[in-house]
Amino acid sequence: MALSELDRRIVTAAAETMFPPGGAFDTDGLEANVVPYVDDYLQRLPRFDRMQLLAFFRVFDAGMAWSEKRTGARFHTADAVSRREYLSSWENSPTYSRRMGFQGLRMVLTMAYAECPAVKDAMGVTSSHDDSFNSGGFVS
Amino acid sequence: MNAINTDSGFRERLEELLTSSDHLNKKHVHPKLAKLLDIGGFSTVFARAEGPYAWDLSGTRYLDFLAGGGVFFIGRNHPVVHHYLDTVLDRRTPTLNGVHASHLASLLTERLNILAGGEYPHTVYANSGTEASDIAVRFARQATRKSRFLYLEGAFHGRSCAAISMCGFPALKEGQDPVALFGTPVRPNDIAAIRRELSHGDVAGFMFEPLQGLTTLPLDPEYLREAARLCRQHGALVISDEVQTGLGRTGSWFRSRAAGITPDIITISKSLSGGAVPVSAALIHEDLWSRIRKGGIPFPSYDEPFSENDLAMAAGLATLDVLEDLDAPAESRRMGEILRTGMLDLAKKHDVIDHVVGDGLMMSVYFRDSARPALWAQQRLMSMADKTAFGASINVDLFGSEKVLVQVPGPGINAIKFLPPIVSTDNDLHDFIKAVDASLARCYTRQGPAVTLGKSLFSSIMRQAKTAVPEQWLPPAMRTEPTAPDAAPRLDAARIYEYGDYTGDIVERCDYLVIGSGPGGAIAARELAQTGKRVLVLEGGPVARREEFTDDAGKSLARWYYEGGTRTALGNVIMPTMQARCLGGGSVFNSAICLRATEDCLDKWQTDHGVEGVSPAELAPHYDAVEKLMGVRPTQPEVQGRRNEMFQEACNELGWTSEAIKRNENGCKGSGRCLLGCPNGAKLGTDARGIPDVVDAGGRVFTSVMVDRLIIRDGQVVGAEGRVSHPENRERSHKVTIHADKVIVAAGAINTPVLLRNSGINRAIVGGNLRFHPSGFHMGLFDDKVEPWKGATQGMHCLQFLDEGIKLESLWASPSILAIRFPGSGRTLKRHMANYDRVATWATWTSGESSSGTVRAMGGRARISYNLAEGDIRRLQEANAKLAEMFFAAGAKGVITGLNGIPAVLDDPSQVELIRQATFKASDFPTGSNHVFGTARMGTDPETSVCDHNGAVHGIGNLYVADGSLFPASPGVNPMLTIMALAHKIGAHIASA
Repeated sequence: MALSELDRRIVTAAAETMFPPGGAFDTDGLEANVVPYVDDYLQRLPRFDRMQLLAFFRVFDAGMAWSEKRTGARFHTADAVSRREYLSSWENSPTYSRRMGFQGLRMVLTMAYAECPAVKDAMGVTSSHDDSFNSGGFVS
Repeated sequence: MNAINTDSGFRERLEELLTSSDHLNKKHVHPKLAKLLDIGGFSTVFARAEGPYAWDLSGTRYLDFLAGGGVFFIGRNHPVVHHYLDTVLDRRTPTLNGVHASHLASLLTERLNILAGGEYPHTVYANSGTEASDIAVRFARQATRKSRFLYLEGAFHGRSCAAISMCGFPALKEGQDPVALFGTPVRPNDIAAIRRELSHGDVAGFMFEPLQGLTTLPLDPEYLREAARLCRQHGALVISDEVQTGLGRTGSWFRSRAAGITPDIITISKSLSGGAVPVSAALIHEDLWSRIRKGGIPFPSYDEPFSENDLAMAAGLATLDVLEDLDAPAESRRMGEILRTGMLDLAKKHDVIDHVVGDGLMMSVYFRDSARPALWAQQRLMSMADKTAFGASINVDLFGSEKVLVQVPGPGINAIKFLPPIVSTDNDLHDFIKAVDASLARCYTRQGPAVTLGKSLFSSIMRQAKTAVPEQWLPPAMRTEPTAPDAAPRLDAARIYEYGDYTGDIVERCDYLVIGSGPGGAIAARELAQTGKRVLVLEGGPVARREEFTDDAGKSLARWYYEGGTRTALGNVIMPTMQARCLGGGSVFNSAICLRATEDCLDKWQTDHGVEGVSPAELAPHYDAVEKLMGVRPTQPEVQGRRNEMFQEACNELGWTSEAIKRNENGCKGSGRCLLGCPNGAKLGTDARGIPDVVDAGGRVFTSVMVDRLIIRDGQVVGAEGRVSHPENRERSHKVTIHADKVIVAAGAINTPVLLRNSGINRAIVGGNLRFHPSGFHMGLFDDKVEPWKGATQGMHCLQFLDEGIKLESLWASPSILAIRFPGSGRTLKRHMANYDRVATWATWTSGESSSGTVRAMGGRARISYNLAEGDIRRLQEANAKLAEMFFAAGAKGVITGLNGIPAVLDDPSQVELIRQATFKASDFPTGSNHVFGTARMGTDPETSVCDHNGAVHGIGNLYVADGSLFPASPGVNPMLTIMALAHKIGAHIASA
């Protein structure tokens, strides 16, 4: 496993916040197996790149203690509302590197989430995407 | 018959061998394995075995729950089996006479047919599960006249060329490429994948283990039933590999039958042998048999000399007698429940147990990291060497301390697997649970299995460090034995070599060494190979085969791209840039766009940058040649798809020009997966066109070899050196040294300057002048369905604004990648994703002519710096405005731009002006680019250029560059075709010199 227990808790918290229960899809981030996917993805990365991503997770997590509210809580220990606000603060940050950090985090999590068959189904992708033109219906 | 002396002393010799068998083993049979087992702590010599036990020389009893990998399901040396075998031998039966069928085989077939439900009256026998898989493959191909097979990730069907083709562990196939069969792996329990693959209509059979032999993952019965139904619908055979599960081990005689399906073929082996005589059987369903017979299709010939031999048949009959007497399915279920309950109880005590999986007497305990800091630290340390290391440590400890045999299930699986013989007593089962308990408990102490494994771990690390550590520093056990002269790999044939071909250090010689096999390297090598001289191509990545391509973005990026797809340029923008790492390089994973550089740009190359010989007229014959070679043609209308058609409609609405993109493809099916590798083999990358010609002309291609530096002596390049690089984890192994008369570097605009700088060619301009085409993409939201995944990845473009430095293109990529453009997080993000089938994505890129950066070597990696200058910021601004304008012209109700500082979703055409009027900084654009060039630019002045117009590196003899690094500035269009044309020109120049 590439994720340590702490890393796992951070990614779990991020997945819960990025893809919470309810809304347009039934499937939430944990049901979509985002955490094991991220673990597997990290394992496949070259060591240096893996370490960079893991370091980012730690910075993102610890950064919450120094965010505007300075609650002292880290992301993975914070409540759901605080996590949402913190994530949003990264997305809309005036600091470019924070915005890009959010994009990177969202990309990794979305990559994992969108690979879940149930999510693909909900997005309408599975059957139609898997059928190429040769399977009929589209070629005019 | 003459009297013979039966007192040959064989028994005495056997006794002697049993007490010293490992010595002979080390000498003749498994020298490396024996040494490895010694290091791992498995040096015990067994002298006797019976039932579920084996005894070592000292008389210590071991509980054998490895059971020969499942062969000894009824225990070792079962008396009933011995009795049957003795009887056959005593009777002196006329076995294998070739005149009539074996009576015992007929009897065994009858018995198996009854157990399988009476629908399998015909059986083909062989000697191993592997051969049974081969038989199934041959029947399927014969019956369906199709050639493709589906198999599951995590599957194992044997080790012959055909069987290993369908192995779901890439690690077990290393060095076996090209595999013998055209097989496609699919995820277990993913019915959509089965449906998708079968829809192509070319699948001969779906082979699966209903409970996987290595992972012990049980397949969902509902999945199996639906998969079988789909196979019937599409004319593919259902092949159930029950080599390990069959004959009662997992609670039923045949697990697939218990799941409610009727396979066309069921294969069995292992247990059937009684652990005495190798045997396997392929049970053929009566419908399949009569279909072949009535259809006049010749039966696959499988007359194997030893099949149906009386000893094997007798062993099978004896085994069935024993298993039926025990009511094996019920007994396995009962015993399995004891084990499962025991293991789940242990999971409550030991947090390293992640889960227990399997059924009956085939089970695994999977491990995870402990929350206890000391153990956690040990586990992390061990996993750095091998992620299965913790499972291996338990395996070692169970063997050494508890005298219990189990196994680590397979590559990359951090678990222990056990296959208890059905003759084990309940006490054996409880002893086993206690042993696992004790072993796991020791983990939490300072002298736990992690420490036990330390010695072998140390050895492992030392093995990996051998390339860096002088031989004399290594412990004696780790030193390399002198290599016999004929042990060096023979790599002199004209072909593509892969990782598994490299068995030692490599020293080779050639006339022309080409580093890189992408658009530049392959084309240059092809030209050089036509001379008849010795050409050798080195490629850092592996061969990328279409059966390995997946729409899983994470797996694809990590596997096929440098730095796992995370490569980024840093400056006033943080800009991702991806370069492929495989045979064919970027040509395998780009959108196959082939365009000639604009005349305006080529004029600038000559007038502004002093490059000779690159006028449109001078390059025309080279463009002609590569266009013909690569099969360039416009995207065909029938594969455009709605997303591309809407692009054209938008251009028409705005009065702009648009045209079908010219691409190097043949047979595109519009699957929209160019960027993850064409699943249909339609893209004509240089792995398909160019490299094959090199080999046909006598050239050699070494894949998975990363070049570290050029060998330069007295101002002349004389070769290059590097290391073999693992296709997946990139671990470096054997040293590679190539001596060459001339070296052509074509490693791409990022890796080429890194290689040159690491070789001491480190003038400031080397890696300077880095140029990109900074790009962006938007998503348009529509009321009607677009189904954007249908159609060519990039089928239409607008060239009208090239003179402004702006190009507009349609675009598609993996859903999981494009979904990043959706704004927000949480339910907002999910709401956007739910409209996925109603979006279209189009892209834009700009000439990047005002901006530049540098590539520098940072160890073996590239440090890329890039700043977006004012001119390109304004171009990007206008390009983004144009793109938004197009979407509204096409009827979009909203446009997501990703631009910082304007609303996340523009919902009115008038808002396009927000883009035009904004005061954007570089960091307001979410930009990226895979068009990269300029880092070893051509020119006449060595101070301001790296190469001359023929690609010759200034100041270094016999060294050339032939890739996009050469461009002094933007070619004005997508760069691949111009790279190829230049490489063609340079290759021809060198060949004629």
